[in-house]
Parts: sequence; C-alpha cells; structure tokens
Amino acid sequence: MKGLLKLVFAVFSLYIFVVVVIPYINRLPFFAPIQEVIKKYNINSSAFFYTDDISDNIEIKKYTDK
Amino acid sequence: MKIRKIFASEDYLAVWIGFFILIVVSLLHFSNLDTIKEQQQVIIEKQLSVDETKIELAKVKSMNTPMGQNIKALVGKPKKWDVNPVESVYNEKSGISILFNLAKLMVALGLLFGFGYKLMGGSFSKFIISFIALFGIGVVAFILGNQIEVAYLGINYALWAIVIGIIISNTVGVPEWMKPAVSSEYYIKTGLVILGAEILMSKILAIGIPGIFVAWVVTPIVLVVTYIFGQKVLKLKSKSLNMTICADMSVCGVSAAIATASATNAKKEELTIAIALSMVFTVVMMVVMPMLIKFFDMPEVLAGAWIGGTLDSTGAVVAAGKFVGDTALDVAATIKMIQNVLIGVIAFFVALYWTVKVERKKGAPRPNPIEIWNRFPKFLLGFIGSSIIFSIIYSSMDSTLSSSIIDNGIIKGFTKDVKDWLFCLAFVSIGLSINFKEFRKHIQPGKHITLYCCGQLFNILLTLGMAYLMFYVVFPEITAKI
Repeated sequence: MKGLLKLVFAVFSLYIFVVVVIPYINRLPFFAPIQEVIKKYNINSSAFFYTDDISDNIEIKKYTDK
Repeated sequence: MKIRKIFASEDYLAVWIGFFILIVVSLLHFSNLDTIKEQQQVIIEKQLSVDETKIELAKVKSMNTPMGQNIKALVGKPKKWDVNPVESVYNEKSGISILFNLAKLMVALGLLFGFGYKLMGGSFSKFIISFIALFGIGVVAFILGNQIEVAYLGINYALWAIVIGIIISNTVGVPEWMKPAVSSEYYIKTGLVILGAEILMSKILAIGIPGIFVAWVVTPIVLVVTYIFGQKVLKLKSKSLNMTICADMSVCGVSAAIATASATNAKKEELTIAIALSMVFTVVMMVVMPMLIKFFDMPEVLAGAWIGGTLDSTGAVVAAGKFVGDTALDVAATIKMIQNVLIGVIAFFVALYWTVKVERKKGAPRPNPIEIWNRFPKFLLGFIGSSIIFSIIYSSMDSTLSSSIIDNGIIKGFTKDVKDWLFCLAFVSIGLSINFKEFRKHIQPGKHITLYCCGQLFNILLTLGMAYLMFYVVFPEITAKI
C-alpha cells in the first residue's frame, strides 16, 4: 500500500514536471531564443546520433556524398 | 562446451541476433534493387539538368517502396504530442493507430530475444510474459520523450526510460515475473551491433581534412587527459565511471556512453550518472555556446566547428548551429558526424586497455593473446564488424544506389529505429535494476560534475584552438569554399 502511494505520487510529480515545469523552462528568457529556432525548423533536439531524423525543414549540405 | 559458449553466451548472442536482424533487413531492401534501378532509369531518361537529376534521384528511396514502408512502420515509434498523450499512438484526424505495429514489433523482438534467452538456459514463456511488461514501459518512455516541449528541450526517451524504471523499482518494486526480460546488457550489446551498420566510415572519410583533424585529434586527447585528471587529481573511486563520463563528454554523448560503459563493464548506476550529466550539460551548452559566438562575433565556420566538436548530442548541435547560421549548421553537423564515427574505435581501444591493463591484477604477468581474446567483449567485434561490412558494401556500390538502399533504406528505414527500441529496453532494464539507496552510494556529485566541467572546458578550448588552426591557418583554401 505504501509502495502504491509512492508510485501514485511519483507518477503525479512526473506528470507535473512534463506538462508544467518543462514548458515553463522552455519559456525562460535564457532558453526562449533557441527554442524559437527549434520550433521554427522543427529540429529534433533530442536526436543523439547523426542518422536520427534531425529536422523536417533543414537540409544539411551533403559533404558526405561520395 | 565451447560451441555452446559461442552460441549461448550473452556476448555472442548479441552478435548473432544483431547480425540476424541486419541480414534479414538487408536482404529485404536489396530485393528492391531492380525497382530502384528502374525508377532511377526513368529519371535519367527524362534528360533533366544535372542538378534536377540529382534532386530527383535523391527522392528514390528504398524505404518509400511498399515493402520499405511496411518495414519502417514495423519499427515506428510513438509520435510527437502536445496535450493528449493518446495522440502519440493514435491520430484522430487520419484514424491511424500505431498500436497494431507496436504489438507486431513486440512479438518479433520478444520471440527473437526469448529464443536467445532459452539458449542461455532460461524459460522462454517466462521471458515473453516479462518482455511484454518491459516493452510496455518502453512505449511509455517514448511517449514521454515525444511530448513536444520535452522534445524541444532535448530530453529524450533514454532518461525517461531510466526514470520510469527507477520509479517502479523504488516504489512498488519489480515483481518476480517481470525479472527474466530485465537484462540491460543483452539489449545494449545487440543495439550496438546494429548501430555499427550506421557508421559508414567510407562516407565520413570523404568529408574533408580540417574536420577530421578537429574531430579525430581533439577527441582522443580530451578523453585521455580527462581520464587521467579523474584518476590522478580527483581520485574517482570507479575507473569505469570515469571513462564513461570522459567518453560521453568528449565523443558524442549518450551513444558513446553506452558503448564505453559496455566496453568497461561499468555498473548500471554509472551509465545512468553519465547520461544524466550529458543531457543536463547539453541543454545548457546548446544555449550558452551560440550566445558566446554571437557576443564575440565569431566567423560561422569557426563557430560551427566549435559547436560540432564540443556539444554532445547531434540534435543539440543542429539546433545550436542553426541558431548561429546556415554555414555554422553545415560545418557543425558535419564535424559531429565525423566525431560520431569515433565511437567504435574508441570503444575498441578502451576495451583493449581494460582487458590488458585495468582488469589485470597487481603483479600479474601481462596476459597473452589468448587470454586477451577470452576476456575481450565479443559484441564489440560485432559492432566494428557490422560497420566495416556495411562501409565496404556502401563504397562498392554506385553512389545513388547506395544512398537509396543503405542510407534511405536499411539505415533510415530500419536500423536507427530498431536500435532506439533496443536502447530503450536497455534503459528501462537499467532503471528497474537500480535501488535508489544503492545508487546514492555511487554518486560523488562534486567530483563527477567537476570532472565533466573541467573535461568539457578543456574540450572547448582545445577544439576552438584546433578549429582555428585547421580552418584558418593550415587549410584556409578549404574554408574559403565552404
């Protein structure tokens, strides 16, 4: 029962973090300018490898062409 | 006994499963070869201008053929969402749901890994039941990572998978029935073998000398110097954690951390610390670096080289590069690509160093080649092997064909997604295995943050110096053309 309560509390905290805290962070003046660029070009800033889909709107020059 | 070991140890199984997946998908995409050639021939016969022909040929992709689309759909991940998380698996407007594809992927991966688990001596049915729960948590991690604001900030599924796992294991606990499929190494090693196919060395080597110098000279120097700093000055308790943080910070973030942690047998808690450090500092650096560049009015080529050589994750590099300008974006993304290629090489040498030096007991003689072979993590050979094989195939084909079949078929149409799924399952497993009280014992926040900050500062300065030297002193003629 105690574990279940902890789980409910943790899930609720996670939800608040995702829907309230992170959007707030994104709107802070420190982050806002780069967030605008990310939104405008739909950049996948969470991509962690170069084969991931980086953006729908950016064409990176093909230096890699044979 | 030896044959059984070759087929039934986790290390070897990762290689077999990884190669099995790669071979099946490659055969499927290569069966499109005639269709692709026909489509290309139609474009060539149109007699368009050279540039138009290039553009049209680039649109011919194996993943766009009916079979390619089916393969891609099989490994599809939950989509981006804003307010309602259901949007990520069900699109109300089009009525398209990815739930059925998720179920198919779960069954396919469950059968494959369950068969491997059985070979290791476990129960197939127990594995499958456990795998369903693990996969379900993986789906939730992807959904959280794809919340639009979360994705903008760059916090991806990796951290969410670990967090959800930690929440479950430290609240209600992990039930016995869920434990058989909880095996981070099994999925990570297989994921790395598949990742190898994405590292096309021949492709990257064509990029240009200055970028190669910036990425390939600075990165190993930073890695080694920071590691020595962590051992000699900060006196970190764990060498594997030190090395994982150093690789994570100097190479390419999460993927390098995964490869190095596996090469050094780092504890799950140690990989978690390295990933968390990387994500937090990447978010901050993604904002601070363009600010500094604008403040000092740095030329775009230099700025791009600086960003590409220092920021950890590829997505953050693109965001910061685009913020500075298009040239900076191109240079930054290119240098990051070159740096990404290093993860296989670095993981190999780190594993070799660990086998020969770190794991050797004090006073013990230098291990002979057979001992080194026995102790060397075999999955790394699969990782490097798949990279070499795919690089050879890629360079032996006509460039438009290799782009259609390998780049825009096997890789973008399959491996990059299935690799993410496997890493996600690994991260869920890591979270589920972490006891928070134990975890706290591994954290030396002051020392870990100092290591990361000092290493990154050194990286920033050395990359800036090398970028200036290469792009403006040694190869100014190349810079002029960019």
